[in-house]
Amino acid sequence: MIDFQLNPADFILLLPEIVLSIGAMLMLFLELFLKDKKTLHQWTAFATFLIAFILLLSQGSNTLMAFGKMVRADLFGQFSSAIVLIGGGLTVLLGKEYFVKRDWHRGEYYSLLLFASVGMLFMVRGLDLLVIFLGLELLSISLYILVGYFRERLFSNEAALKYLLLGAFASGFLLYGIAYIYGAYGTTNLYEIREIGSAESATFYWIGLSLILVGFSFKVALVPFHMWSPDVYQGAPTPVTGFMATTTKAAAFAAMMRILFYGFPAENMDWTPLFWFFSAATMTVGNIFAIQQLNLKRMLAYSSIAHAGYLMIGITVGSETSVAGMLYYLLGYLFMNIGAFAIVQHIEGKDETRLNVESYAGLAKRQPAISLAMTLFMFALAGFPLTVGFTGKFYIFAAAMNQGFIWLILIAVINSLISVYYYLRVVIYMYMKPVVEETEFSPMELPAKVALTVCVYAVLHLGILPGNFITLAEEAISALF
Amino acid sequence: MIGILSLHIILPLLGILVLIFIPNKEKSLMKVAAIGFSLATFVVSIVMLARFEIGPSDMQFVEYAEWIPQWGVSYKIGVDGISLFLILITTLLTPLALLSSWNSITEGHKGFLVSMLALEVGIIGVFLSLDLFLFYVFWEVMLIPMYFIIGIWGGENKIYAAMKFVIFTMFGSLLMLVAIFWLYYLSSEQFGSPTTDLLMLYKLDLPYDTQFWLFLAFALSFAIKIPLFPFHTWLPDAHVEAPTAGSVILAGVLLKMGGYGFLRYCLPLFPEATIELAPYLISLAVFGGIIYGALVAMVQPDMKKLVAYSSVSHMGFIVLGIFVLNQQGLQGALIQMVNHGLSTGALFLLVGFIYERRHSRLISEYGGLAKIMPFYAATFLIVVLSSLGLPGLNGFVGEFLILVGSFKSSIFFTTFAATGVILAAVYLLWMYQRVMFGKVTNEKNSGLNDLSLREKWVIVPLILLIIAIGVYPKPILERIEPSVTNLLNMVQSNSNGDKINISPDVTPVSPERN
Repeated sequence: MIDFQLNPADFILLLPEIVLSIGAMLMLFLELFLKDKKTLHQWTAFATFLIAFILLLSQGSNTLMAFGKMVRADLFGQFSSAIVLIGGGLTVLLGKEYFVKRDWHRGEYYSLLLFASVGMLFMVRGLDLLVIFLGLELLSISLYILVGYFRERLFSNEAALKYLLLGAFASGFLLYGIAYIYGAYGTTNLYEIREIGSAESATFYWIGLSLILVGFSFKVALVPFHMWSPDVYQGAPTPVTGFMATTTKAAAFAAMMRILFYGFPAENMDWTPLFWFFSAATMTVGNIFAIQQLNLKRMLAYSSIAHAGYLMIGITVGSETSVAGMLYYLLGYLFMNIGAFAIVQHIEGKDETRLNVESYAGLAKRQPAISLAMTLFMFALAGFPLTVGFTGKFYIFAAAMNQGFIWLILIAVINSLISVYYYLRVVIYMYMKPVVEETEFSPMELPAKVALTVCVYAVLHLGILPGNFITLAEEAISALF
Repeated sequence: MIGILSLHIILPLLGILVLIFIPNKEKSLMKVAAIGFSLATFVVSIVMLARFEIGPSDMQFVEYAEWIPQWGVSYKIGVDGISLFLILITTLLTPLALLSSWNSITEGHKGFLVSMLALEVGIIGVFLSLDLFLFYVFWEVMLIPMYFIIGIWGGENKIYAAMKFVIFTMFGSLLMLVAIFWLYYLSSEQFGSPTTDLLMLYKLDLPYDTQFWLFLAFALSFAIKIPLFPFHTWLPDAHVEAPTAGSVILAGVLLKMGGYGFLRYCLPLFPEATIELAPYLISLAVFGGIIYGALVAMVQPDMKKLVAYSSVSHMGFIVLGIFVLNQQGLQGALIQMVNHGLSTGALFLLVGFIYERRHSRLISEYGGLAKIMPFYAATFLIVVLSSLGLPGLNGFVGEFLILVGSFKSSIFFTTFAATGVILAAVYLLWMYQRVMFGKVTNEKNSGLNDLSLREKWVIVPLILLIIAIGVYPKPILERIEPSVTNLLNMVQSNSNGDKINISPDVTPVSPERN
């Protein structure tokens, strides 16, 4: 069955992962020997992400399988890996300032980020369920630590413990599902499963895939598996929250797409009603709960649940266009959400007292540029035109309409309307309320500024001139179907 | 090469760019720059008017550029008789509104000026777009500056009003977005590839059921904008809280976007549904708009609120004119949109002038102003008379045409609509009487100055236009006419030759061609 011949050329395909792993280990050594060179840490980590990114893009558009069909390098993998690496890079840029302020700036942060990214790359490029599982575990373990990074803080510990317990459950479900799939097909390799077509045992197939879906639903926080996410998002260090809400979500969704559309093509399954429910419930619950949140981190956590709901429309519809739309939205979501978290971490301050929306009162007068950027991100998240929030939604919703999912779209637009209320609340506080507290803001450091500028630019570019990226997403998706 | 229509969009954008680089201290410079750019836009639109050909009914000065080819979305703009004067009134009112707010905006000048110019871009974009996607982008983007104008520079209850404005409008426009998706899907089904090109979409063959739902979705969005009862409740709040300049643009142009939307989208895209649903919209317009608006206006103690409700009443006439679906009605509706922009814009300006002096808009605070501010009282009188439709002034032309048009199809509705004219006379003249005539009852008013030179510059152009259109409306009507005829033909032919018949009590009327 699985051909274990090792081809040296295979390693070339894995260069991005290899570079990231080397970088991750290098960071540990750096931490050991060069404790005080804080900037060096950051730049090494960033350079690692950059090199991996360049290597990834240089792989061209050929579809190649390596290591006995364990890994598949294709345009889909490339696109999703690019999202992961960009997310990682931005998080590196944002991290230093945050941790230095709190005297917690360590090499481990970068090392864990790099390891998590390696895991995600395996998730989106793995062709075997076990490789995907291993990638997911590498990611999860790194994240458990990152969430509990402030080991002396109660909140952080609580978040890490919650995440660990529920995450372990999710992994268990996933693995159990993989076992059933093995029972149904005699293999865990998606390529071979695709070749076989229909399973010998339909029951095993149903159980197996349901359990796998439960596992992933935990990871992307679909209702009703979302309970962990607000607490974890709130307790985690803000840059990590941003990373989890965007990059991790993107990787988990990409792996889901790979499994569902590549491994188990549509003829085999009719999961539509279930996905429909997931999608509708997730966005509705996310948005309705977000209304009540005055803590911005929690609000963004619920908003991220809601966005997972919008993204699920792509899977529910299951057409090439809708999945391409998802991929495109994931890219856009990365920028608008990391941008928003970048501002949250800037405003919250060292002692994290300014997380509530009241602290944003009158911000426009004191920090006009920051307020403008935040406004852009809020409008983007709410889905206003000329931002990627609109083009992304247009892409997915229009694709859904082509397949006749009108009620789902109606639910989605009503949800968008609800979301306008709480996103604009932030804008209201920044622009329309008088200043309440005259606290000093330390100026933003250059790397964070760069990251923020990239986010602003990307949100606008993807919103105004989406053409090239639509083509890229479409090409990427053709590798799946 | 940038076309003349793109200049309408680019010039204000350029103005925004320039404003951003002017330091915050240079307040006068900023104001001059903003007014300069908006005046330049006005000049460009005058040039466009001069070059606009009378006769052809199709789009003129069409510009086309690919935008998102994968989705069949393009940057396509053009102008015809329907949009021509709406663009002109936008470019005219924006510099006047900016000039009127020279002193009244006390902080955040730059943001205010930028918002006003951005608003102009959005509104002009809505009127120019010939692509559904582009239209939607402008339609939504226009919300943001208005939201800031109300929310930042508004009155006491500004946040509530701003939020209400956004939520109401978004509700309509999101449902419209679903309808756009539907059309988009149908286009890919019928043409092979999706497109949002409006002129292509006109050729879609839609079954009645589809038309019905799509019409409702679009109509809801436009009805909220106009606003039609029962979706009008955002309007008084928005008007009362908005600064004068915001109110002027809101009443003068923004509401017209709803009427324009009916004409450009609902009628030609969904002709059968239009004919079928027209009676309902007419009865809403007559009872919920004209009469209800007038009755509520009558009891308002606040001048601005009174004018706001009078807008509801006047916009009812416009909807009536649109949905009687004949030449006179449509022409009347179009010219009435221009007239309403001029008269109500002027009314809000005048109320704003007095508010700047006394910081009160309550009618009861005033009395006998005619003696203290004769020039003000005179202009106010002309505007009031124009608003209530005195022959010889502009309001009469529009209302008369609308009523003639509606008389042709339904005596019943016309009778009730005509009472709206009487009610308008009641609430406007009554307000005028209480504010202007009699003795000076309030001590605070005795020292008020008459209009300054700047204020005269703002109001006199409007007065001149009010008189000019009232005396000689032909230049406008002859430019509107071909497009209106064409529109009616489209409604007629797309509806498989069904006779247009909005009410059972009279003989059916087909559109006249002359």
